[in-house]
Amino acid sequence: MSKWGIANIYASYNNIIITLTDITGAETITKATGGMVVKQAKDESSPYAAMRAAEKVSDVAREKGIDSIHIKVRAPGGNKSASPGPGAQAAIRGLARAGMKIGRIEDVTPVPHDGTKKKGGRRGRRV
Amino acid sequence: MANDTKKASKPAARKVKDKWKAKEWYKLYAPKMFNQVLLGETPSADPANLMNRAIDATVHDITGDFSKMHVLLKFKVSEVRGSDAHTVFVGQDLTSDYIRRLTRRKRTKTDHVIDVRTKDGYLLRIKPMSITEKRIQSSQETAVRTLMTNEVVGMGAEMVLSEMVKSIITGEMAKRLSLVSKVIVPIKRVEIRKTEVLEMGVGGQDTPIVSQVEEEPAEGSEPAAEAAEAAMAEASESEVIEDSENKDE
Repeated sequence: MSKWGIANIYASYNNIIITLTDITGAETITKATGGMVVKQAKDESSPYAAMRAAEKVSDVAREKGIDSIHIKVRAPGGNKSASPGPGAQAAIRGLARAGMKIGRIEDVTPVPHDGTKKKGGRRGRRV
Repeated sequence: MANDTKKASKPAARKVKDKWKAKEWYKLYAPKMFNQVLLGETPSADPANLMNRAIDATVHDITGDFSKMHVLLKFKVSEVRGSDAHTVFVGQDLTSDYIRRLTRRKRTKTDHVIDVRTKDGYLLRIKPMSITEKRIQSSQETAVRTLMTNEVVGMGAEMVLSEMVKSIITGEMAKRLSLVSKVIVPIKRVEIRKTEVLEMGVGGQDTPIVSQVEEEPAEGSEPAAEAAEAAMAEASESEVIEDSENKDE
């Protein structure tokens, strides 16, 4: 019988973190980040890093007896960017490619019901 | 202890693996209200750690009803017997993408928050939302809120928890609420956005409310679910492909 898990994917523009937990979210089974699979810091959020991280996660998952997963994708959210980084889709794809059965895919980006001001000041970030 | 692990990384690695092996898998079952469907499995080293673990399941997972894919039911572990963990119902939710699909421009989405005590002592916080054809005035919103509160509190006085949850899942409560508020303004849609169980009552989770499901259909629905999953995976892949194409341009 196949066991279900949840792949929590946090995709920002600087990194990607995939944490695979059991279905209750209480037990972490394995995790992988962009920084674990690429050398250069600028590549941490790249689709390639996401793909490698997904492979890494699914290898351990299969070893521990989990072969079907629900996916929860999130961006930084709150008063930061609400759209997931470039790695999100690649990570989902990577998990599917690695032979995991995909159940629900849900966006769990935290949405503020109004809170603090976004950083950057009145005139925005001046580069 | 900490020094030991620092000195030699190899034993530390072995220790982690042992920790995983020491964990046993426990089966999670829905309350009798939902025919004690198997919700999933969770590993734990100690059965005591299982208490209060939360698990979501869509109504589709439980009943095989495809029209209710967007309704999430939340359960919490309340009792562990051997390798079985039994849960209680602690709330209901709609998936965020479903709500986002319903909210449009030039329509008013009104959120309501209603605390209601059921006949068997459960304190529920029910959060319906109503969507109108066009923009309405805030006085109308307030009037709708009052009517809805009265209706839900009235329902709570004559219903026990299982009946209440059933009416939420089947959409009966939403129907009643839209009928009530029609007097003020024509309402396009009423959904129960969220339900929270604030205080547990006595019993009440024993009467099955989704009786139409037997063991076999639940299993039979799996291939269909797989098909849906495959479609979803494909969809996400095609999205990826589209994206990469866009980048090339």
